[in-house]
Amino acid sequence: MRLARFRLGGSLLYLFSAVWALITLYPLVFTAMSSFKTTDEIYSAPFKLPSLYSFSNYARALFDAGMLRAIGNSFGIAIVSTLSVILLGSLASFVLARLGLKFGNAVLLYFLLGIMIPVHTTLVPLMKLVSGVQGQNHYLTMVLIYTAFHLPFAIFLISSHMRGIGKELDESAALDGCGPIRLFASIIFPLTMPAIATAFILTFLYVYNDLIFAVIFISDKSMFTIPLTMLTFVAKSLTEYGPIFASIIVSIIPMIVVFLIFQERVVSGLAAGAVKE
Amino acid sequence: MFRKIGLSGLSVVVLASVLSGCGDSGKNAESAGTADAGGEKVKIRILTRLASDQPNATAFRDKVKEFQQLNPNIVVEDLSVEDEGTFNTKFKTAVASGDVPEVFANYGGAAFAEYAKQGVAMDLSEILDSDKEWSGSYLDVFENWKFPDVPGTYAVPYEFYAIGIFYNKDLFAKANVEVPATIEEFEAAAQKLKDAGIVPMALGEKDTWRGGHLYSVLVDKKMGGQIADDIRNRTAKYNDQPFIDVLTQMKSWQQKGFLGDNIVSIDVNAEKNMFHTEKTAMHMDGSWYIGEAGQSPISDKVGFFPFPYYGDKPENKDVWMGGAGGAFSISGKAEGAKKEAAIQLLKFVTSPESFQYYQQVQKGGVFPVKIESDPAKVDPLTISYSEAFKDATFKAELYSYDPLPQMMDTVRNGIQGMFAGLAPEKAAKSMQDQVDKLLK
Repeated sequence: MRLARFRLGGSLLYLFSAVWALITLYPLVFTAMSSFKTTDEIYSAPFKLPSLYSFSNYARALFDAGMLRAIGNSFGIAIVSTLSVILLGSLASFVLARLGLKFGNAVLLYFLLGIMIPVHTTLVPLMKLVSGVQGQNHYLTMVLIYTAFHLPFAIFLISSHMRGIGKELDESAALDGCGPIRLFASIIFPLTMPAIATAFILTFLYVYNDLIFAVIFISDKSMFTIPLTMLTFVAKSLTEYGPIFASIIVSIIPMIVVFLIFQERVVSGLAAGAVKE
Repeated sequence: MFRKIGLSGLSVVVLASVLSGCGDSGKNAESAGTADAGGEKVKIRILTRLASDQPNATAFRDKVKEFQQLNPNIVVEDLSVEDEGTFNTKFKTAVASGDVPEVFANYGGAAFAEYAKQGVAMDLSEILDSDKEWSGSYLDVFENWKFPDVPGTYAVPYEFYAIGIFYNKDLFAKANVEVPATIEEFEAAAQKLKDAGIVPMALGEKDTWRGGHLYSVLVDKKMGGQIADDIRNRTAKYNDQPFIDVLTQMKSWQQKGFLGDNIVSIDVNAEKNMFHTEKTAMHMDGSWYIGEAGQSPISDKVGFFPFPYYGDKPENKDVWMGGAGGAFSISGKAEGAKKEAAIQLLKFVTSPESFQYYQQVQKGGVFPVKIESDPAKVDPLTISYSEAFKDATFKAELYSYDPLPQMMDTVRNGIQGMFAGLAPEKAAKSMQDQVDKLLK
């Protein structure tokens, strides 16, 4: 009886997983299908397979709108910003979580305040600041802004993970003659990898998808990021969904690559700190 | 591990310097250009809603490029973005930070008065008066940029629209229907089309401006152009009987199926798709649709007729919903060489020659200036459009004359509410209630 119930539960679980997988995958399939259709076809037969597999949407996205260059821009800005966030965030977390500074908690709280500031409220002062230094259309401006906005969350994530690592490690390392830099680099950093990978993927995703800062600070076409480039398909009385879907397909490829590389660590990282081991 | 961190740290520094190097090289090239030109370069920024790959936007960019070639001392930085929400974010951020682009697009109306008052936009009346050759070609379409409490004219229109009805000639023939001249004929024609199994005139009311336009057109035809002033002066109320009659008529069209099924759940794109796939016989739209009609799969079947008038109100036959759409303003803060350059650019992109060029590239379209259209280069829809509104007077959407900018959303939403089930009297009352509440 108990075995039968278990089996029933097992097959229900499979059914549920299959349905769930379908729900999750369907938008991707829909996007891929629509990327071959004309805008009229997307509206008149949204759920049918494309009547003709034409790559004209891809040609428009890649060559007319310059999606390749945009992917390069987005990827470049995202990777540099993310690496800066990780480098600065893990160093700051190390100091705050491990070295027992007198005002460590106050400093940490100050950083955490940053998480609570909505991006849109900062646009006007940022715009003043950036135009004051003539910083529009500059990759460095974008990298600095993204780094600043994502550091608080990275510090929050990484420092709470670092606190969970036993203090004994530091002590025994110190006994063996290990200095703080080496302690960070060879012991604490590798142990914090799950949290770091999570911070990496979240920051990367956000920066890669961001529109608002790009809209405000980039006007040079050769520097357009992916979302900005897609906007060229949005006209006043007409939105060309075909090329937009093609752009989406092309631009998620680098994301899939990044995710596959970090997948295992991200999944374990998301659960990190949930229970004390 | 340490080496790895060292490497990633190094790569951050290297990548950052490479990337910032890219940005710098652009700047260097620019300053090198200055030296070559031998004079001081003036940089002006333009923020328009002409950024897509549609013919109207590419034609405009061609003209900006041409302007740059003719004026090597002026550098034009194009900040344009076409999507409405994004454009608004960009424009409002610029206004709030006090750094408005030298030339910027806007739609005028009561909502723009505040910008005129605060000096965000410059008074252009002197410039218009001093160059009659340029301003003389304009139709009388500056109404949206003149305000009772601030003297002056604050923008130069570059878009013009007029609302009429596009129809599918084949479907009309199939249902044996003639082009209607009056609303009574229109209703009879719609019934015939409906009986033949064709949706007479689909309306994508998920986008509330669709119903708003239909309402404004009907109000103009019923009450004439004077009603705009009455709304502005509050001598008319949104729940006066003629307004309720218009709403009741719209509701009856919905109930008879003239506007399609579930109209509140389909948007304007789906509505146009119904027209392109021959599911609906008529499509009420502005002149901006001419280009799209030409590219649609039914391009050779599309005809145009003016919006019908009430048989008992022939005096309002030529009151159209229409007027200037987008316009360009110059930043009130622009001074000296920048101001001169901005004016020069503004005149260049709105000259009759430029409008002629836009019309040719778009193969049609109507503009706020008097220009000769070459029938060989311009599509027949444009010609019949221009013929149809030769004697017209134009009025914008009714609620845009209301000094309360909130009324646009209120009226449009009220209409949507009515289509979703509210009684016409109640919808009209909710509109007037909002006015009373705001004026309290």
